Amino acid sequence: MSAEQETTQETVTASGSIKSRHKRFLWIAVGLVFVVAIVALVLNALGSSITYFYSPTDVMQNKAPQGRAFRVGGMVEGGSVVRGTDGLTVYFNVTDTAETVSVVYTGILPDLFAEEKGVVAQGKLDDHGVFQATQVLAKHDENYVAPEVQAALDEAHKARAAETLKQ
Amino acid sequence: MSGFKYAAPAQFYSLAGKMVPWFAVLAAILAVIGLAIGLYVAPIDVTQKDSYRIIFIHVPAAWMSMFLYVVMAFWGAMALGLNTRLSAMMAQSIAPTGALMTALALWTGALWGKPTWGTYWAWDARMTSELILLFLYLGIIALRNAIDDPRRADKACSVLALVGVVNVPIIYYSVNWWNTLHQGATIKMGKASIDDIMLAGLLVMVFAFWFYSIAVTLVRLRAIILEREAGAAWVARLAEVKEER
Amino acid sequence: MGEFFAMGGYAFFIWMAYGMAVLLIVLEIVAVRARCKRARHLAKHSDVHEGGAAGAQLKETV
Repeated sequence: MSAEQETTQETVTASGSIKSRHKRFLWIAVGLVFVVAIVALVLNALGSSITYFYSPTDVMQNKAPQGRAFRVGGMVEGGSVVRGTDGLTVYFNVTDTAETVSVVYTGILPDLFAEEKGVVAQGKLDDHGVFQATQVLAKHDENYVAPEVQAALDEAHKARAAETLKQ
Repeated sequence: MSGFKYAAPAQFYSLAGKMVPWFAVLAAILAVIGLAIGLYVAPIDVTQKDSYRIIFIHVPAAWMSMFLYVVMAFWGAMALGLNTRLSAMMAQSIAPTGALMTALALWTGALWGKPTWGTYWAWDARMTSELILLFLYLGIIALRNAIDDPRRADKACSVLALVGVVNVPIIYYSVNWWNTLHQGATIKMGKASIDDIMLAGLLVMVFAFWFYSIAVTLVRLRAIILEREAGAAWVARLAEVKEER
Repeated sequence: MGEFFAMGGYAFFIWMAYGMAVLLIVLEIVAVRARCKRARHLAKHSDVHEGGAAGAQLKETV
């Protein structure tokens, strides 16, 4: 068996293996789908910003996209969460300690949404500079702590703070 | 120089056969211990409560998805550089397991994201690059099946594997380089921001996944060796081949 | 026991995750063992010669 011989339906290669033309084309098509998907995702990431959200500082410096939806992320400012009278609307501030953005959102908040915890809101800035959010996600950190350990840490922290006040 | 005798498919076939049971049994034992710790012994997390327990599957799968890809790319490079059949077969044997680990990482990540972040998916840099990794694995597998000549398939798959390997550091550093929804690394050089028991369970599961991957990859490698060396005299002499119907 | 399976209310997410892991691993083990059997079968029915695989008649997928 020397060169490739092509029959109507099959290809017999030099190594003698037979694969029907249909099966081969199917695999080529499948492979192409994945390669095209990869290229599309990469180009999309390079074109639009790969950043998932802008910080409040970015927003205040007009670095966030103007006139269209984007995401702002940071920490929920302590004491800023206010529930609307309808029960579903919530007002809060997102901060990166340098700047703050006011957010209003109507809908269900994730369980992990809490003051002084991470948040990512998607929506648009309205004419008054308030961020009208259509989606609010909680962003959690990379720490995993058992409740008792956290309680002990909090106690130690309180004790140290009390000590410093005394001095 | 005696190590080089295992560089031939015939010798490595028997060596791999001896290695498989050890890695399989170790993987099983570690999995039982890891699952016991992860699902029962380890306490809840103060923030995420029980939902964090998905970490014991998600992180090992994600780490293996990246590690296996680098190993596969390494053997692909060896195949291109040294032109040895066994190097190419090693790369070929890894791809399906790598794809499985990547798919599992994405699936478990989605199930962890919904109760915590509030969404199954987000197109942030971490998740998007891991999805690209899955497509790379599947593309390599498709390429393998599309090309008849095994040696040409070896070359094409090695090239695609090497082109895609830049994605692995991107996946790993994405949470540092860009704003992402996915949090940063819990286990960093010399420091881990996780309770001791949780960390123990995590490390046990990482090794369980690693030894499982080695075992199943070696079994697949033996199948690939038989497929590609069929017709060789040493294959015909194998007991398991003679006993086959 | 019920408390264990309830997983603090996160049962769906946790068991779908762990369940998929078990399922995929079982499927992979079954598939690779089947591949070994097919490979042994292929090897048995290949024409024997010294060296390569020119006697092979079928090509394996993946």
